[in-house]
Amino acid sequence: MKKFIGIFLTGVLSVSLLAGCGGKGAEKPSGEAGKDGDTPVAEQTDTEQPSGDKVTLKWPCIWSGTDSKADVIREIVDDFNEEYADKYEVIIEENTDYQAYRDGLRTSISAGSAPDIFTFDDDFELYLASGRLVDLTERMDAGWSDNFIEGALEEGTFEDKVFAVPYEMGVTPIMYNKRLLAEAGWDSFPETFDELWELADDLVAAGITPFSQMTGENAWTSMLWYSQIVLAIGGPDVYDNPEDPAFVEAAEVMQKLFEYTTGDAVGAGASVSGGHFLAEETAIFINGPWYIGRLQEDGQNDMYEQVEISPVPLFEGGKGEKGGYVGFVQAYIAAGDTGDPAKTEAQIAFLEYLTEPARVSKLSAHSGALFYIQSDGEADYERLQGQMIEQIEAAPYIQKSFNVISPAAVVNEFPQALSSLVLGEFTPQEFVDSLNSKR
Amino acid sequence: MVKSSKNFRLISVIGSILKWFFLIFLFVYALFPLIWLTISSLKTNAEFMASPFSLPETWQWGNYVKALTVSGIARMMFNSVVISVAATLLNVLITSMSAYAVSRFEFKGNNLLQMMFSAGVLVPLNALMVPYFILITRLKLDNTMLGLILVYTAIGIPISTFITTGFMRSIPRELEESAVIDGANFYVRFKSVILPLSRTGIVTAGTFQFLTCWNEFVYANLLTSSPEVRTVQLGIRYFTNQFSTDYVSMYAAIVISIVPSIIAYMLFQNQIISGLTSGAVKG
Amino acid sequence: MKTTKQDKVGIALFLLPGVALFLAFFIFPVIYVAGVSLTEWTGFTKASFVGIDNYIKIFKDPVFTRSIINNIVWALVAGFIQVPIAALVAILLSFKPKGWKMFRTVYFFPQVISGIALATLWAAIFNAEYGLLNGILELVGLSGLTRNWLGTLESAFPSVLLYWVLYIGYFMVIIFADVQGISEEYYEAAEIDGASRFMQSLYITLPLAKGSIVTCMTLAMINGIRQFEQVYMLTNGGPGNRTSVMVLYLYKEMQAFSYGTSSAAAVVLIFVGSLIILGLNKTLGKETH
Repeated sequence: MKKFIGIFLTGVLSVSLLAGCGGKGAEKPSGEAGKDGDTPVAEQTDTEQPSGDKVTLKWPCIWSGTDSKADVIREIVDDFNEEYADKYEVIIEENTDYQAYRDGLRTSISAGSAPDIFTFDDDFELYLASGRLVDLTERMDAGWSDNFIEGALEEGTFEDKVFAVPYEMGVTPIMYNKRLLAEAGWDSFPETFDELWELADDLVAAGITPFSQMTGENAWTSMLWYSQIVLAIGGPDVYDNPEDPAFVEAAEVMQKLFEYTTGDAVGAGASVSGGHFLAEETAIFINGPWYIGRLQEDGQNDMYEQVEISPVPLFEGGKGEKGGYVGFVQAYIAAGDTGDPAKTEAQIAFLEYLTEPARVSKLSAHSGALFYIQSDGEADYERLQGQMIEQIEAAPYIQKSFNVISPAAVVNEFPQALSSLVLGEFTPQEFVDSLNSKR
Repeated sequence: MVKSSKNFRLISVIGSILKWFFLIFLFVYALFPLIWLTISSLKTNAEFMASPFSLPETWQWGNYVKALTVSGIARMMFNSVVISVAATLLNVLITSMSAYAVSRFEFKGNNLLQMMFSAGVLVPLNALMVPYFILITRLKLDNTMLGLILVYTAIGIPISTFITTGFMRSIPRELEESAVIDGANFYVRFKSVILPLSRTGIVTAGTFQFLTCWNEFVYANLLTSSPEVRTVQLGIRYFTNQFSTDYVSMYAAIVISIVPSIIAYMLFQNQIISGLTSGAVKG
Repeated sequence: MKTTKQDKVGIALFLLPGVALFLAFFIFPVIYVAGVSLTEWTGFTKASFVGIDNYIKIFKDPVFTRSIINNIVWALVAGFIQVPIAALVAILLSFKPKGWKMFRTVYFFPQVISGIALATLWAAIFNAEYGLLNGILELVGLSGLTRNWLGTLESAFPSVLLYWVLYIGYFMVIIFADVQGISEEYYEAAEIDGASRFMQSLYITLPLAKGSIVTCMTLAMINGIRQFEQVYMLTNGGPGNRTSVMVLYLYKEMQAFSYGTSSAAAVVLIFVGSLIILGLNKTLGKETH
């Protein structure tokens, strides 16, 4: 035993030293991504075999477990595997914990191998520029691009080449509880910010906390408020100039919003701030279509029936237009480049399969999520989802949220700067400066 | 004389009250999370979010059914047992050997070695994801139990060596010397003198090593991908996803997952006690 | 005792597996990380050598210096408050009071519960709307003290730090095991001399268990330096970076695609931690051996 360990470890060591000499991992060839998944403990065979054999693709998939897309995605993959039974096989690797998935994905790319199929949503330019993604341009030009709604593919294009498929669309309208608004004497959602403050005062007078806010975790919903307000003040082109006064003005509005929120908002995570809305303790909230399922399942007193959605109100004197929407790519799908033509073919075949309108319509109807794929016109939308689509279609513009246009370092700093802002440590100007210092 | 003994009794009564107050307070403090966790695991998510400290209206045993059936946690528990037991045995064997060498002998580089091991405890493992990933994929051990066993055995080396060395150092030299006189060589002394006498330390280190393996998440997530090798911590995370967490099912999974840890802990601790009946070591 | 030639072979053989694994899983990765700390690297694109720029950058960042201070405070509280409490409990339990086995088992429970559960529990306890802590304070007439514990600049760090201090199971187990090993003869002799239990503890137990207590102090302080999971899940460093610690800092840098500064923070962490261990060994450790 001892001898065995000794010999074995000598092996470990020499390999490790070799790896150490290989530099920083940035230029490693990426060829180790795929392995036979059925025999994990026993011997493993590389899938880079001569053509003629079945090509196996691994997909570390976040749409698994209890995720609302899990069932349909599984179905699509099963259908694909059946249809191409003699050529390809896609294996889903369940990745339910999103943060852990992101860490794992980045680590494997940093170590030189991107997964066969994967999704991502952050700092897309880095992914697109990494040189580790399969170039999809040729197939797109050959007709695949017709599947997508107009302009969508630009989001996945880098240096005139398409490296990623923009798939899931995130839109984040304001959600409000009309029963609580009625208690405060309002039968519709305000159209301007002045009215919004009136509503807030009326809600407080009726003993209802107006807004759910949060600064814990990534401060997600409050970041969405900030995005909405920045756009309402500065208009859709505001992101072109990080020094735009709209950012400071929007910070002032955030301070005011936090005067109308729950006592635990500073430090609250998504489940706490969302929980207040679900429990009818707060009247107004921001989130996306994926939240509809939560409203139905976890809302108290059937509150889902009471929820309506609205674009952000007009800001007096602001450049934002009525009905302006916040929307962004919630998930890109890409394929890791292995340099193996057979594999590339399989990867593209699967991505095409995944983006066929009929399948996406089903996925959308089933999960409530929206996609960058042309609808085949037969989709049966859920009530709020249908309203979102109407509002998207009526919107004069759809602009991205603040986190999507900001580098990851700014996104990281946002919850910290926001809590400093609402606790009075930062002035609105200091808030903006502290974010910009991370650029 | 009488008076002072009265005072003495008063002091001891007060001391006793303080002692019990202290012990019971800590008892409640330590027990509360488990009770809360168990109660929470029997609520609905809506109840849990609205009032985290209330009792459920109806006890949701279905959460346990869900935790057991949906996540495939049973298989993952089995994997965790295999991986944790193997990595604990291997780790304890390797570290008691190296602890024996560094704690009982003088040789060149001994101090440096001990310092390196101690400093190893400090290394923030979160910072090592990329090099570990490279190491394990180069060895073709990604997505294998062996890979995780190797990683877990290794990451526990500094802390186990540290604990075991401390215990071995306190064994009186005379015991070993008399064994030398009896003709016992290096290996025999290790096996029949040092190992039995440092059993307490080794079992303590083993307890922690087992729990480290059982609770480790970052590398289990990074280095495995298929259900056949994944561990129980990934089963727990099965109920968290991108936009929401099914807390109550997750808690049910956690309650299920800590049962083996508690059993292992109790077994190990009884080991220590029975090991001690053979006679005191220190003095 | 003389080291024979046979011993030398044995020593080498016995050290081999441990040292080999240590080289592969600690020395190589640390050298790797130290190398990366001298580069600017997103992980996705080519790395470029920048010398010690990353170190300058992180030391200019007030969040990093605050993280170091938080870690040092954490280490001191863990070493000099948590471990003494654990030692006291271990000694009290060593007299085998009624139910001592149950106490010993239950004290250890928090160590087996996964970090996510503890974090959500304590977030709920500290919560300002429905939190247990505020509820208790109101019940005992101290409603003036209620606050959003994890949401003010002043109370967030003490809250995160102090709830943790009373989870002593880990260290109690080590010290208890050591105390158990003390020969009964000592106590018997003391009993004959009429020494009280308190005196026995002070003059017999403490000195004889000193080795394990110092071990625990070292481990506790290292824990303080490496603290991550609880902070990450409870506050993510907020509000206003008040609860940031070094590992959280390096993790966030990694998430911001800045492996260079992240690795530099890791190297600083190892350095600061080594200083603390050395300091502890200098003051307490020397007398033990």
